[in-house]
Amino acid sequence: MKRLSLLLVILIMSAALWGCWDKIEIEQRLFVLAMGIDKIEEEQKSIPEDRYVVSFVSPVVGALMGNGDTSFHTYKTTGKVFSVALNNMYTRFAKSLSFEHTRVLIFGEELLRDEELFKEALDSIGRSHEFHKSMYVFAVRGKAAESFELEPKYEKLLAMYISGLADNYKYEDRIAKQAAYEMYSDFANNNGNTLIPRLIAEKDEAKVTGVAVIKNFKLLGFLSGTEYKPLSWIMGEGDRGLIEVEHEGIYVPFEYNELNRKLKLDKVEGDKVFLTINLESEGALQEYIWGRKLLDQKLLRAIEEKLEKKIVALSESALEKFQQEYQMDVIGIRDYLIKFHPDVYEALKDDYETKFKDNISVKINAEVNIRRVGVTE
Amino acid sequence: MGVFTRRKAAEETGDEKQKLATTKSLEENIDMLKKLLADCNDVVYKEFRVGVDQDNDFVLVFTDGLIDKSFINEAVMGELMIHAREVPPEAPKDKEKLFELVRYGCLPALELKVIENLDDAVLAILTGDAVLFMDGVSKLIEIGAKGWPGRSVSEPATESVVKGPRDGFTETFRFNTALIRRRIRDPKLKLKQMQVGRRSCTNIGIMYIEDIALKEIVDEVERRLKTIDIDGILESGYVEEFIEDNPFSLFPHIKSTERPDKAAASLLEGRVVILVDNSPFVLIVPVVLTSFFQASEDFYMRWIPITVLRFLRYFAGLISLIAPALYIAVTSFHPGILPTQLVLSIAAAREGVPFPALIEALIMEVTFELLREAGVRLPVLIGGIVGIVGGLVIGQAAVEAGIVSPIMVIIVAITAISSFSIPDYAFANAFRILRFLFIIAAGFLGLYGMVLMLLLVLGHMVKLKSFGIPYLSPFVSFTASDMKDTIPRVPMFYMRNRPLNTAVDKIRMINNRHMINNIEASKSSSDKGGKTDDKK
Repeated sequence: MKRLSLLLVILIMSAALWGCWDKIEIEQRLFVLAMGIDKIEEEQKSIPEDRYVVSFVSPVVGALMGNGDTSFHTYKTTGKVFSVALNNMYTRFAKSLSFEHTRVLIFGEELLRDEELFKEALDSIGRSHEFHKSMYVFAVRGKAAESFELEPKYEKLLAMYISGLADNYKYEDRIAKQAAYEMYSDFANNNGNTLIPRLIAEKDEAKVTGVAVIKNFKLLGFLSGTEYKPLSWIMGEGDRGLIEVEHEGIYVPFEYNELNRKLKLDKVEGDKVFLTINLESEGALQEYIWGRKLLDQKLLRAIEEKLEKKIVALSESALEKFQQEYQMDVIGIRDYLIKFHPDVYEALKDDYETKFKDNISVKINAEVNIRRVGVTE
Repeated sequence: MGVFTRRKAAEETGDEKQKLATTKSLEENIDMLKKLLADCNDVVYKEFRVGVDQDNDFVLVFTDGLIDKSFINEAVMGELMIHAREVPPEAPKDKEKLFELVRYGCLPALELKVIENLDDAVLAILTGDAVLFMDGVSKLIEIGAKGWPGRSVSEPATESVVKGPRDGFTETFRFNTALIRRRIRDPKLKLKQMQVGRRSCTNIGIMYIEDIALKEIVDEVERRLKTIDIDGILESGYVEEFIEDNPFSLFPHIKSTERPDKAAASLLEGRVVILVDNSPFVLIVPVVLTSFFQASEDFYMRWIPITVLRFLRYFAGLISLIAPALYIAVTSFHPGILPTQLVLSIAAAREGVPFPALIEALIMEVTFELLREAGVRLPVLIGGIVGIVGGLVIGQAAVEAGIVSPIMVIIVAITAISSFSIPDYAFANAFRILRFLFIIAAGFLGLYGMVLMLLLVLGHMVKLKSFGIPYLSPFVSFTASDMKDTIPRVPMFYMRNRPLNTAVDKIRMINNRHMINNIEASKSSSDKGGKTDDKK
């Protein structure tokens, strides 16, 4: 009995002492679904030290149940440091910010061009436990805040709309998708080089296509979707998409549902390193022309050859751009050499990026296999 | 010295002489009896004389309403009064010899017993037997003539089945033992009877199968039953509270059932069944947690659906335990673990609700418990009104008034449905109370609090024992063989062993399934079987 009463006293006492730590009711939270970070402009500054503009989108939950016109609100705050900007929100808003459901993080162009600011913001987001790292990152031309002004025609929530677009990377290789943790691991393992998917916001529609090229935490430029597509093949990220070739005056679209990249070291001659990329693709012909049979081995072989040529040509030009113009190894050659040929990499280690341009030569082969030609002949 | 003190003294010393002795005079005996049974107007004293000279005085004493009158007429009055006249009287003059004649030759009743003191006579009379007093001898004859209006065997209300026997225990002790005996025709099935309760003198029976049940457990049950010293035992629930291991535990660790088939199955597993007079619920000891999730139907239907249903039942148990708590923890502490769309719709539903989730959950759960408690004892006709009040007024109106969110109503409904799918009522009650503790823990500390609470409950369950058997076995003190009838229910022919920790004779059956498709083997074995039968 004495033990029991002692236990009761301890329980009641601790219950009284622990309070309700961390308890925030669900309706007290302001769920931030999308967040954009921009470099501040002179006229936006509330105090001269301000450096960031952080804008975010939060849904109006009542509107989701069918009443109310606007389904989300956009908020803007400024600050000298990223987290200060966020904290400034509390002076103006009665709810508690909740980043547990943030789906989209957008970087403005000016921020990406400013290495210091970008690195600080990255560190702040990476360090804080409030931000989960599976949100999708995007880069925009112009300001991130501007993309929050669009009102999506087809969906209620902007953030859902944008993240849903990025999820379509499975169906079309022009679309790139990158979660924050992938970006962080790229920055950590690849000398601050990465490709951030590009978002284009228009009045009532958005587009996710192409990438922003970041080298050493600095924006070099944007690639369009058609430029990114062959790059995704040689990066080994090709999933699905269409390639069209002309054959005897007819346009033949080929839908690949598999595109495997194989990287191989051929030989090392002096300080030159020779590699081969094999692209193996399987898929179906989507259309030809009414009345012409496709089930003809010779015809198929001819189309396959044309496709192979096109794939090689596109890939080579994409590779050339990165090797000669950007001097950036995004296709994972460095990674491959470190893992499988550390001795070869040892020679290239110092000043890798120049050597990537001068000493490494990559040959691209393609192999296309048409598996299906459709239902009706 | 009163009658209870004398009985107790006789029981303690084992000396029958402690009880009130009879004399040879009929008059004195009846006087003393009338003094003992003063103001008991339902006791009938039937005086009559037998013999040509009408010189043998008899008095038959019984309680009106407790005996079968037609039987007494036929077997006692008829024989002694009418028959004695038809046959030429050769009644011995010696009273002792006359007594012998009456005892062994005259009364065609099935139960006759000689008693020699008045205390036993009083008990016999009040139990429903008739006692025959005779002038000139100090011995009395107890005539078993019990026959009171009793409920006949009917389907148990609390444990109905779709498939399976429909008989249930009744309030009559003897019917209940018969219902079990009818299922197990084994001389090793023992019934030990005792009377507990100083005033009620309730019959309590311990049933067990001698070579299956552990002797230690049987002895322990008997020992614990003997410690009960109370004025009256009205229901087996009294006994349960007196003999259970930990009366402060929330979990029942003695199972009570209304179904004789369940009792018989427990006996075959080596458990001990305690029957209490005037109660249709028998007690089964020892039991483990998993037996509260078993329904007797589980063994009458094919094993595949039952295994799936068992999974469902355990899942329902979990839901009924933690669903409201989980809702609180997730909405107030960790909305990050839900899908975004769901979070937004919960937030939208909770918009305008004036209470925090904890209070909201408590309001709804308490309302539900109120409805349930009110509905249990209402007559069926009024019970419908409770449904209307509960469904319409509380459910819909509370949501429309904005006091609770519609999602909370769903949670409470799911919890209620789940708690009804736990087969054992007593066990479901434990979960009812624990649910509130979980709600409070979650309201204070979120998921962390729930985990702490879960650890407390688990720790308690690990420590709990039912008559020496760990409550969580076979999960603790792991016995692989006993897992066959826990969450899965393996086919009957794989249940070769009895539960290893309760049974002495561990092998229950021999799996001859392989003979079904092997005609030769089954023939030779049936020949063998025939031979052994001959030997018997």
